Amino acid sequence: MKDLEQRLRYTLHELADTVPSSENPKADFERRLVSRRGIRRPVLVAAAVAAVIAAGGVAIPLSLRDTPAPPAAEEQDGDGLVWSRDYDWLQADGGPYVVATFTKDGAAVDAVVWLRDGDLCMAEGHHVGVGGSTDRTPGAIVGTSCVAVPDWPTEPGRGSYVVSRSVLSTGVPDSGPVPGLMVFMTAPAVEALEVYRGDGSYVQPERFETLAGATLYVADFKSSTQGFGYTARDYAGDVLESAIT
Amino acid sequence: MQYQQSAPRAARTAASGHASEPRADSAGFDALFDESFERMKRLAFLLGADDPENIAQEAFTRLHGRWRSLGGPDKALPYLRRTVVNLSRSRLRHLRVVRRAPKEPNRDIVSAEATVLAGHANRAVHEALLGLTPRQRQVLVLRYWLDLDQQAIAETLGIAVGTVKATTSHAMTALRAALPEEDDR
Repeated sequence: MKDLEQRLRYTLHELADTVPSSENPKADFERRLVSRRGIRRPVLVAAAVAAVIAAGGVAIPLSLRDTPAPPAAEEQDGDGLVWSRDYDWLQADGGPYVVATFTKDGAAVDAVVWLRDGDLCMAEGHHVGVGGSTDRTPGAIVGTSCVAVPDWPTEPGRGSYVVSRSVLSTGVPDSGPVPGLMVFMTAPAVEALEVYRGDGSYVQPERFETLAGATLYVADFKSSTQGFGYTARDYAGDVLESAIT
Repeated sequence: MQYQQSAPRAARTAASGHASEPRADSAGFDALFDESFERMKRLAFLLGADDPENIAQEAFTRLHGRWRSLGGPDKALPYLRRTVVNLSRSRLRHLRVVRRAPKEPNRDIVSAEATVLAGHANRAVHEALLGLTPRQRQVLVLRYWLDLDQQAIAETLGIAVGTVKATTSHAMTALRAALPEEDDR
């Protein structure tokens, strides 16, 4: 065992040493900061959030529509997951993420999700003073709703490992500006989340943040969320929790 | 489950103004950048990211935006580690077809890393590492490369210490199975 540990340690150090040093990482960093402070910026994280709350709270779907589909190329290159600096003033512990953008009264409105002080929150993000333009000037958060991150169970059967919410819904399933869009929050013990529509078809959830206390996914059902289900698995692939709403 | 409207809090926060200027006190942040950038980049690489430079840059960018709200300079390095782990994982997710058992490593990554390691004595160990689950690999890299203790690994990965122990044990078992001759030495 000791020998294997030593070989492992040696291999990791040897492998790390193959990575060449960056020439001027600070300059690259400064350029990145400047670009993030730009007034106009693309929506880098896609998908969306809305809010339909399933009574009883095993699963709470979030949904948003009118939402331009996130450009796949943007999602797959460069930054990977990127939180929005437009709403960075929220000083969230996780995010804020623009999970969707939709049109309301002729203006572009963001669906913003963030974690702070143990709450998962979402709201509309309005860009101030730009009327119906698509200017992405940072703006106001409107209609914030939050749900507390629960005390996660320590073993299966002792509470739920998964919380779900529809994004910006009115409380009625498939309502709001982005129906069909849900956010899932899972316990740290959950390694993989599978989501299904009411008809049993699979919905690919996108993991967009993993923090010390929770992991966030967004799932675009592209249809009704009613009767949705999910299966949460641990790192070994064993089912921690399975539910149909 | 609690569900509440928290507009007052949002309004208060909004009144505090936008974070349009750098938040970091430049001395502390710059020192951390200089000390840790390469290490964070290598951490991303060891976790299998194909763009470790970008991940390290992104991690520091995020840290910069949260510097004042972290609650102390001692929180900065753990935050960086967590962010690098999460971003590396996210990046892998985009690169790999992941469904239930993400045991098959990304072919591009394997190929690139295997090329780098070709001719090295510990190539077998490295290949065995690539066969581990992402979580197992994370635990081993944090333990045997960053030399973190179990508590720090648990905090970095957002899991219980017991899970760290179990994952480490499973990972070492898997390595032993993949390298039977190594364990017999």
